[in-house]
Amino acid sequence: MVTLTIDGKQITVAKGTMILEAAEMAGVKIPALCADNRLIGFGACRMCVVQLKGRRSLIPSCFNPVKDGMEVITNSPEIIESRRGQLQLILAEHPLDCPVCDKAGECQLQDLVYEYGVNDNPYRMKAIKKAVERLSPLIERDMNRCILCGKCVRICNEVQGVGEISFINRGIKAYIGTDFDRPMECEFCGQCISVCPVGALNSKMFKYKTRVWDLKNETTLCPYCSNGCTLVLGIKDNEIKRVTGNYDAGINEGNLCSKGRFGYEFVSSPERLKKPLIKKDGRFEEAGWDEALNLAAAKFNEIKAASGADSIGGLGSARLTNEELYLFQRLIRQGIGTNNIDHNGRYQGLLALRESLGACGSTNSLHEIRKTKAILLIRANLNETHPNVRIEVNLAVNRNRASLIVADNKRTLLSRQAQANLTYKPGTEVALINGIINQVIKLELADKTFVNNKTEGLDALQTSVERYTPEYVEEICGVNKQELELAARAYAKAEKSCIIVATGMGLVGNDRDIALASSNLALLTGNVGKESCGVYILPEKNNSQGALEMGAVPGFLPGYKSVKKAGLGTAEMLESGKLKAMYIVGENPILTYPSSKVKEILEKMEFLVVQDMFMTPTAELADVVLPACSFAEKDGTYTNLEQRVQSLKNLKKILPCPGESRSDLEIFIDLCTRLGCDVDMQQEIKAGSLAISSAPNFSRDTWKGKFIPVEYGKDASLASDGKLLLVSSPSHLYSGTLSAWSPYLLGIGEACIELCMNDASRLGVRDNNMVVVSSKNAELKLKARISHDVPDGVGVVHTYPTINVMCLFGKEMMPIIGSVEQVI
Amino acid sequence: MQKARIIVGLGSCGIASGGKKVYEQLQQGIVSRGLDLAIEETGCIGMCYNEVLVDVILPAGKTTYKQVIPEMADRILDEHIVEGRIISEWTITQEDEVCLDRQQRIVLRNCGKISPESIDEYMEQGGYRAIEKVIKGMSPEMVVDEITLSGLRGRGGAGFPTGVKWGFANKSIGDKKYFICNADEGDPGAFMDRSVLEGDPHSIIEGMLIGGYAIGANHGYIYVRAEYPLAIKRLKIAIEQARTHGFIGQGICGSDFSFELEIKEGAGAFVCGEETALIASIEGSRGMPRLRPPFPAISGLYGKPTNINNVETLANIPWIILNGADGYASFGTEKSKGTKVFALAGKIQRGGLVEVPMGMSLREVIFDIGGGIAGTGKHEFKAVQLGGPSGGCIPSSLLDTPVDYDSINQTGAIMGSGGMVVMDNTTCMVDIARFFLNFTQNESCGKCTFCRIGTRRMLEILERIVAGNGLEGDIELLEDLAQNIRRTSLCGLGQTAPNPVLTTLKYFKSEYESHIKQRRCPAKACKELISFAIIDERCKGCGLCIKVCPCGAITGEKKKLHVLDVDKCVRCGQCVAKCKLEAIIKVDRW
Ligand SMILES: Cc1cc2nc3c(=O)[nH]c(=O)nc-3n(C[C@H](O)[C@H](O)[C@H](O)COP(=O)(O)O)c2cc1C
Ligand code: SF4
Ligand code: SF4
Ligand code: SF4
Ligand code: SF4
Ligand code: SF4
Ligand code: SF4
Ligand code: FES
Ligand code: FES
Repeated sequence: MVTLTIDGKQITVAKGTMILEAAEMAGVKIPALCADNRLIGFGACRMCVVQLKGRRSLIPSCFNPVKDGMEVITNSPEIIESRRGQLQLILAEHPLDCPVCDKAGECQLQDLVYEYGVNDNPYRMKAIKKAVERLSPLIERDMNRCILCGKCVRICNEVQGVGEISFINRGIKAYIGTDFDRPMECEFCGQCISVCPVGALNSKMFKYKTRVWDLKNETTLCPYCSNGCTLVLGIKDNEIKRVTGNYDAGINEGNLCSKGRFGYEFVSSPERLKKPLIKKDGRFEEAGWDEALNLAAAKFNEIKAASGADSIGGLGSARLTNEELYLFQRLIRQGIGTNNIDHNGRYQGLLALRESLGACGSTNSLHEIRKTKAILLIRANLNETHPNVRIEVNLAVNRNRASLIVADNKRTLLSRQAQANLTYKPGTEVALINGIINQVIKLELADKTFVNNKTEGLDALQTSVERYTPEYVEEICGVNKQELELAARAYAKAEKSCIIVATGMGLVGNDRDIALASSNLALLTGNVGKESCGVYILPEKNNSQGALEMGAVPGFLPGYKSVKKAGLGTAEMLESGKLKAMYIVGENPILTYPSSKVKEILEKMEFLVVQDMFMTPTAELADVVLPACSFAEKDGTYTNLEQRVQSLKNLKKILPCPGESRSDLEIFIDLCTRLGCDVDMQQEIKAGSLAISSAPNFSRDTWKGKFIPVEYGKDASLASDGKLLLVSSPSHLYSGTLSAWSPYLLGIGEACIELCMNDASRLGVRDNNMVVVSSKNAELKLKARISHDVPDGVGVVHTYPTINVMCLFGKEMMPIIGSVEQVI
Repeated sequence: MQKARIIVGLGSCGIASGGKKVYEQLQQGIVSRGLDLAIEETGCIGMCYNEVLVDVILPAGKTTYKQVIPEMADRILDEHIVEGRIISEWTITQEDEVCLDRQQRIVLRNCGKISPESIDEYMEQGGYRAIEKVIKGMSPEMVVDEITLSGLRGRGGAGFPTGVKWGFANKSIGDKKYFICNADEGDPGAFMDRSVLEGDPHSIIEGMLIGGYAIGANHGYIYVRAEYPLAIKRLKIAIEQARTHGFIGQGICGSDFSFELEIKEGAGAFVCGEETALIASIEGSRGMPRLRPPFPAISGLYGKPTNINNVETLANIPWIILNGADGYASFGTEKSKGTKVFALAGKIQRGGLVEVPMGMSLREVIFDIGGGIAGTGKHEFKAVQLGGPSGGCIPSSLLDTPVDYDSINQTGAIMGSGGMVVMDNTTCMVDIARFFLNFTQNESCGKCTFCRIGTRRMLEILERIVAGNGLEGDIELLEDLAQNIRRTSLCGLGQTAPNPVLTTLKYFKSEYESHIKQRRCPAKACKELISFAIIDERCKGCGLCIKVCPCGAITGEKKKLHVLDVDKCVRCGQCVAKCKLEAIIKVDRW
């Protein structure tokens, strides 16, 4: 620790702290235009200069570390003069069009000019006028206002790992731009906008919407992915006008992805359902809550009496809160009396870790990733699936010099930074991981002490991986020996390593086996139960983890207690035709379930209740539609990918629910009562929170990891006769339950099939051509995209909210042979 | 006894003067005459004003022909080689020889002497014996000490003691270390690095090997500007030769020391010569200086300990190892040891490269070696700009300043890379400041507010002064800005950018004042402040000026007095240059 004084205030801070940070802690404000807690010091603006007592020189506080006994002065006349000089120079190149600038009111330049009273300027204005770039989606760039602090470039590079924008030109002509000044083609996270201290980068969605001082800023959780970011909603006139992040609130340190930042439109969408609807003679009519709920209860009871409770099923959503999920499974299990309950998710990977490691999901916390020394990404195209986990990976690689191994069926954006890229043939993940394990054993890289003391079942694993020699692996996976060995060494030799596997509806592969093979590798190298190690199986949606813990699955009760007889899961409910009635909440299986038969099945239902915010294609088929509230209009908790339980903020007062819509929780309580099962909310919430799992105690003597050998089951097929092996790639826009109603967000993605140049020319397909993609399950019309990231013989189908591409794959969700033909 | 041979100077300057044609012509002549004569090429010897230089080496001795053109080839072969008669009117003069004799050639020891594409010739001169000596008999720390003792300071500009720098990198802990040679040479007036790369590439490789050994680096990069294609070509050849001879690769000289060497071509931005920007550039990012600490010795290329040295610095290393620290320290002054190469340019009689012991006075360098002001003696010395755009102007009153780091710094200029631009009384000091500032403000990476916008504002002020629109208070504004730019810029570019303005303000303030107050350019160089006039008595009406005038400003009948219309004149100055009778002169416009 180091003790110093800043403007006479004494403070003790950690060694290595910069003077600027120390001042912040001491409550002394130093102006800083180019510093940001998330970024490496840059030293461009020099607003942050300070002096040391008795010395004349001006030192920038943002990159000078504290020293014991330092006496820092932050506001001598000389300092003020230098800052004024900086501001005068900036203003000599600045339009100062605050009245039409969206930044006004929270512009650091405006504030500083005001604070330092810069109303004189000795420099003639001769600024070069630059054209405003308006062609990019979502983001508008006005370089006239740019002060070249470099924060946008740095966050895009250092944090996002994208590198879309950079400094162009030198001297006074320098500006921030893209290659060849084309419109932006990035992931539109908007992080650049968020760090811009001035109004040079603007959100098109927010442009001229309101003055910032009129916004009411409220903090709540992101409704999209399992990262569990905290959002700041800027609300005015009962509408979300924009979303920002806050460094000091939430695990995301203010970082947001495109969905969190720009995907808020659905909340104020005019399409939101406002009243319960009952279908009469094929047409929906508005109804009162009593009428609708009574009808639902009566019908469920009637069918139960006639065909038994097991002819009814409930399909929930991993976007419901824990409390709602808990109540939903009670409603189905007790109110109706069946275990036919599930949610539309792929959770086999998460459950697998319970078998091998006793963990109910990822073993370590999010921020531990940044401190690890090696990362093995298995089928984890994080830029698309988990953008903020990707940030952790970037930080580990760029700041902590961790080695990165990317194992995927195509090259991803992260491949650029990888030490080894294992591009395997689709569906061969298990063979690949077993191959790495084989090498770890052969090269004697296993952690013997750990294996001896903390694991069981090594012999079986050893026998099972014996045949996964590099030659065999090369034959199956198409990954050569050098790469395999490199990966094995990089992963096993690092002081701490972690494995990250993404899961989600749009991903192909056998999740359970991948997870088990991964935990075998982690156990073998002693990478379990320590800081910054472990296995991360990333759940898909914001509360996928909670949906398991709350027992919204056919085989488990809350808290993973087993049921006597498991009910039907999503696949059987939606495909077998065994059910007579269903209650679907917050899901739209017609577009999100991997089968093209869902519509047919649902149409045949005797009775269908759909509870949603929107009239989805699934809701169209319902007999009763119940209008639900959005995440912003209700209470509750979500459990994120590191099993952190976080609370929503109910903003109903300033963001009223449309019409008579009610929160899912309110609807469940009401319906439960009508189905004859009483709800005492206090009790429910208590039971719910008991069900939330706590992390296993790896350090306990009795804890032992189990090696559970898994075999490559030849489930990957190889394409021949001019066919392609199709795989799917989840879009960063997710299933569409929310994003489909956020037009701006829809604008930055598209459904398409990615092909390599060779296949494209063989098939006579050009970039942007429309093609028909067909498998044995379905046929779809998609746009073709030629890409250098896809290997020969593989077609990567990108999911998109308004089209069901998953139906090509069937419920197995494994790579599948298909053909691609040009539309004539 | 050596075989008879002809050596053609084929450095960039030699090539620019048509050296390739001369070479071909000589080669053809040799073949057609069936002569038993080898023809070779060499690098720049420093007498660029005399290019193309051709050495004829016969058992009887060496003769150097200057300013050779292809048409001279046949006569050289016929008279000198065949008939044994030296063509004395074409050889270099005594004066040329004297100016070579006054030099002390350590860095340029092999330039112009050996063929840069032959490792054998380099080795004949003692090449690669230094690395052998180091590997066989010295610990890395001993090497560091030896270089420290020699007093060698970095020749890239900052003059930091090389041995001390190596010591940091040697002590820094890392699983991998890098050794970089900075061959970016961005200073527009300097070309000594290019000459060494083109004329003696092996000496750089050997210097890097010794440095790599001393700091524990096994990987080296030579960052060379893409505008130096010949240097790149010769470096590539040299690296290949060194590899075949076992000086690059695994197990050098039978030890377990290994060294790999790569060339990185720079994009040609001045700022990329700054060490952190250079590292960023090698890593594939935009060349932009970053904050220090951490210094490259702790965290440089790819986050690993890295040492960066300039070409000229490195060329000294093998010599120091072979001749000892004392040998090196016997040249120079107390705090500046050894020699320094200067690139003489501007209004100088004998432009080119000279290498002199530190401590020689500016006067000796410019007058004794450089031959003084170019031309017929009509103009006199006014100032010398030392250190390129980051340096400053030293006036004639300070001509006796010795060239060593401290004395030069005291004048407000810097040693820099050793560019010396000599100016006579036709050079306007405000304009020269504007010229250099224009360079730096264009080259600013754009990061620092004062460097980016401040230099631009200074330039605007200078532009209005030379245009006769200077304002009261402009000098104070310039001084203010200059101080702020110096104090708050991140890297050397910004910190030194105001030097030309500050030194000219210091020594030639009255020139600024007459521009501003009287709208008068004392050197009669600023176009907006002069006009042209014909002196009646001198004009014989030859009409040459009429022919060159682009805008018909001069009229007059043949053999009669010509008249110049100042309203039509665009002040291009072509007529002045053309008029043999000096009848047209520049006069103050206002
Ligand atoms: C703007 C700028 C440009 C520079 N350009 C060069 C250059 O072209 N060549 C060079 O050797 N050093 C250059 N330097 C100096 C280097 O940063 C560094 O000090 C030098 O390469 C170290 O080598 P030395 O210790 O052998 O001199 C430059 C410095 C600055 C600030
Ligand atoms: S960026 Fe700031 S100072 Fe500039 S116009 Fe906008 S509000 Fe005003
Ligand atoms: S939106 Fe995101 S990815 Fe795109 S330029 Fe900005 S920071 Fe980079
Ligand atoms: S656009 Fe904004 S964030 Fe980017 S450099 Fe300019 S002022 Fe900084
Ligand atoms: S990373 Fe996930 S939680 Fe965070 S903003 Fe994006 S979608 Fe929301
Ligand atoms: S001083 Fe100039 S060149 Fe150097 S970092 Fe700053 S802006 Fe770039
Ligand atoms: S200075 Fe140029 S334009 Fe003027 S008279 Fe002479 S030649 Fe003509
Ligand atoms: S905040 Fe320190 S230089 Fe910009
Ligand atoms: S190359 Fe001939 S003296 Fe310069």
